[in-house]
Amino acid sequence: MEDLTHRAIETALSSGATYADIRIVEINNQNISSRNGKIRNVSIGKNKGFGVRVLIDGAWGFSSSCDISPNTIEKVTLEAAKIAKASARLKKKDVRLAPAKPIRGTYKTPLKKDPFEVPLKDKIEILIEADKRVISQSNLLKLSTSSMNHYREGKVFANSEGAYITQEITWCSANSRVTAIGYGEYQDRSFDGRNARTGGYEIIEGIDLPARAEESGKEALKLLTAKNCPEMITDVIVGGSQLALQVHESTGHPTELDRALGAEAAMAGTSFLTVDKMGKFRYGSKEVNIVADATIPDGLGTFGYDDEGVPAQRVYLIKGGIFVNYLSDRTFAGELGVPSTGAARASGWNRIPLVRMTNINLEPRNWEFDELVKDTKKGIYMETNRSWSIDDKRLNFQFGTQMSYLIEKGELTDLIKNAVYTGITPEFWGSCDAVCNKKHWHMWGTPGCGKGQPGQVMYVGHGTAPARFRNTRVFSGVTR
Amino acid sequence: MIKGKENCLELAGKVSKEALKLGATQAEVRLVNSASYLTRFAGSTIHQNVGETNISLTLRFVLGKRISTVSSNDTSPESIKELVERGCSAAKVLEEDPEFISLPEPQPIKELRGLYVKETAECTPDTRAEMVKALMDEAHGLSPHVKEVAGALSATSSELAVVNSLGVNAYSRATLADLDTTIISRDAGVEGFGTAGDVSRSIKELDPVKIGREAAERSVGSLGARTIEVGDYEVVFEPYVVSSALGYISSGLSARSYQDGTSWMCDLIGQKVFSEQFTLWDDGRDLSGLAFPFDLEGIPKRKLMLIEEGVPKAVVYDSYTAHKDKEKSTGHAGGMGPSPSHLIMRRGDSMKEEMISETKKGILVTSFWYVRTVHAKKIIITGMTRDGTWLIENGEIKYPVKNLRFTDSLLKTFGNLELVGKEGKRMGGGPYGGMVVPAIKSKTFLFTGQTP
Repeated sequence: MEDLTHRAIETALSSGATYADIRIVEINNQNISSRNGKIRNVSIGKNKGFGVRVLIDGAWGFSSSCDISPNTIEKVTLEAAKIAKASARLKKKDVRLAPAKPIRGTYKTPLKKDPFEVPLKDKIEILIEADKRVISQSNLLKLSTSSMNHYREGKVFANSEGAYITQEITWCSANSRVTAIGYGEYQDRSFDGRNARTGGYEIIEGIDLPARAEESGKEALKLLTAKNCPEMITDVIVGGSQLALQVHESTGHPTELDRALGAEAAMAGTSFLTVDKMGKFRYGSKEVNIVADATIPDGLGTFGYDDEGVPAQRVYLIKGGIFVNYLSDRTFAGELGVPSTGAARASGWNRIPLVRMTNINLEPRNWEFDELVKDTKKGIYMETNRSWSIDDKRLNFQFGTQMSYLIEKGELTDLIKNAVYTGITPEFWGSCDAVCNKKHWHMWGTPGCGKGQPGQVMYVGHGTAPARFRNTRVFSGVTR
Repeated sequence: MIKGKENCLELAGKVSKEALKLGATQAEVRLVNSASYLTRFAGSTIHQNVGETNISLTLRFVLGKRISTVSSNDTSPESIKELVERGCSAAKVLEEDPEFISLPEPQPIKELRGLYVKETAECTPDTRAEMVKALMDEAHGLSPHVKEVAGALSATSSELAVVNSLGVNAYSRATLADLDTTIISRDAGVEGFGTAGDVSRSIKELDPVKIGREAAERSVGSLGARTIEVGDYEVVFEPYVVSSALGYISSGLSARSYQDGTSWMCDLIGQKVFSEQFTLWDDGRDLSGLAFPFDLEGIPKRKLMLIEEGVPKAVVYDSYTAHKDKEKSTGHAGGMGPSPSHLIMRRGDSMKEEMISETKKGILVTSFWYVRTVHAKKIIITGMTRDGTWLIENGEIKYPVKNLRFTDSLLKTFGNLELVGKEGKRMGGGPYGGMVVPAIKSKTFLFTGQTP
């Protein structure tokens, strides 16, 4: 393989490149899904190719192909050089890469059981059992879908500075979604992709999907006749999986340095966390410590090296409530004159690395969940995302959840449905006065984070424990 | 890069035959061969500039009533053999799906001309840079307040071939050029945003100067946005918004969601649901949109009325969902089940200016952003306005307002449709589909929050 990467780098340098890199990638995935106890789809994919990135006259060019042959590598590299020269026509200043030590290294996701070696039949049995345990409960449970995903990405990275890195990332997830329709109502309950983690089939074995699906069915039925969420300003305890998405949308995305510098203005948007705020802006209360950690075991955003060959890092983004750092790559860190925080990730051989999340984790504090509920006189506990939306600067957000309970005099009481909470990011995190302890902390996954043009879908992780937010606006998303 | 009709059909046919040799009772092969180039700009400079050539093969291996789907982007003989073996071994362990009857039978497909434009396929990085420069120059020349021009210009050429063992043998090629921009203006510490874009089979039809001017005018016009009281307002939606909203209405027009009971259309076919002003159909052969002659199962496109004068009429089918309802496929097989692919909303007789002049107290919205379903059966959605939002009072635009959050039902919004625009705008949806939509005015839309 090194002869191929060498050919790309040499071709780029002889075309005038001051920097070049190549990634040769093969992705294998297996997706199995069932619907009401019948397998509806078994999809097995294999996708490979290479992408070459060159820096000429201070501007970037990239080209890629599915044909991994010496001649095509040379042809595509020359095309990338031509593209870079066209980019340079409209440059305002030269790209200056943040320095990175060239590394020769390897990384492989630690796993106990290779998911691609487990017989398909075993997986199918789990999915069918999960559906059956749902639809056998009631005629009102109209739809039960279950699925399993296994993903493996093997990649070689080499650059003109001498780096040569091979990696193999494997992740798995198992999901269930239940729809109940009756009494003029429609309710979903899911155990979804937020359970995705890097590792092997042991992740699936640790989930017990049929039991989870059965429980979801029971909960969906209860939701049909639950009360609608009242409109009020109240204290909200946000459950772990919902908080994972809150962190993703309101912390992860606004701390991406490319957004803050305007590179995503036309698509994903910009960020309220502008560069002048770094190191001094109060993003949240003192309880709020959020770290980008690509080194933590099992996280969906865990790897050995990012797609620019920068080693995985653990970096505080929010410390004691203060915004202290960005997720960055070598291009944008270089623009700011700071080191890359190792967050350059590409969704495949045919895409350039963008600034992406790794594992963005809210650090646990010291509350027991029961104690936190007991300490809350009046409020609402909200769990599992149903809808999500946030503005293009990541300030105004609104999240709907599937399951919610009223909290009255320190106890969880009535189940309520269609609950929605809304707020403004720094005000919301500023109102956080309690985070549960490590016992309640869990690594969640977001396997479908979209960004960029052409679009890229990335798998990222979020560690969270339930947390309380004072004086939050809640209402029913349906009765208004 | 173009392989041509014969080569594509031959390769796909070869995979289908290999599947039959290995015991498949039926087989379907989809081949996509594409070359895509995209020049992305931000901060009034090109910052990302990329190219990609790829070919993909997707095989549906049918073993009685057992079906597996396998894919690969390696067309070497060894890889094709491995692909077919993967499909076969996966299908063998499946339980039978009693609802599967058959892959579709072939139907005659009438060719559509003009889908492939040489200038788009052969567009160079230098040409793209020149077009981007023209857009930037126009925007910056319009006002000194224009500070950052961002966006993307893409040019794609692709071939799609669908072959099945029952005789489907469909092929077409198409190009797509897409230019969009978001422009940031600044004045005295405040920011304004504006957007514009266009899409065409021909890159020559894209006018970067016009697009730059339109977005810059919006951007400068939205400087000094104010806070307003949230609540119910009349609304004038630009076509960008209408396209986004129709995306959410159309998810309920799929036979799959209808059969599952999760569609808003369940129990409502034939009843008056929307305003009489609202008529919507799907027509993959209408060249005013991004026409394409067949769907992903190789079934020909035709006009299908979906909502007529406010009354839902039909859902769209692929072969699987059609068999279940003893219907015929309407030619709407997509990657994830049936879905409308070429929506066209009937135009009215109003210009946007007339809609504004007919508004007592309302909001003019350029774009929606981050829209999500809150309740699918009631088509309640939430999201934010973006890239230009203005308050209208007594028939006149008063001032720009900060981005607003909305949470409302599209059944209600399109039920209160009052005026429909005279002009249709073509919106992109990839090489094989898109929409043609006008601006609209509705009597009511609920705004529930605002960005500070």
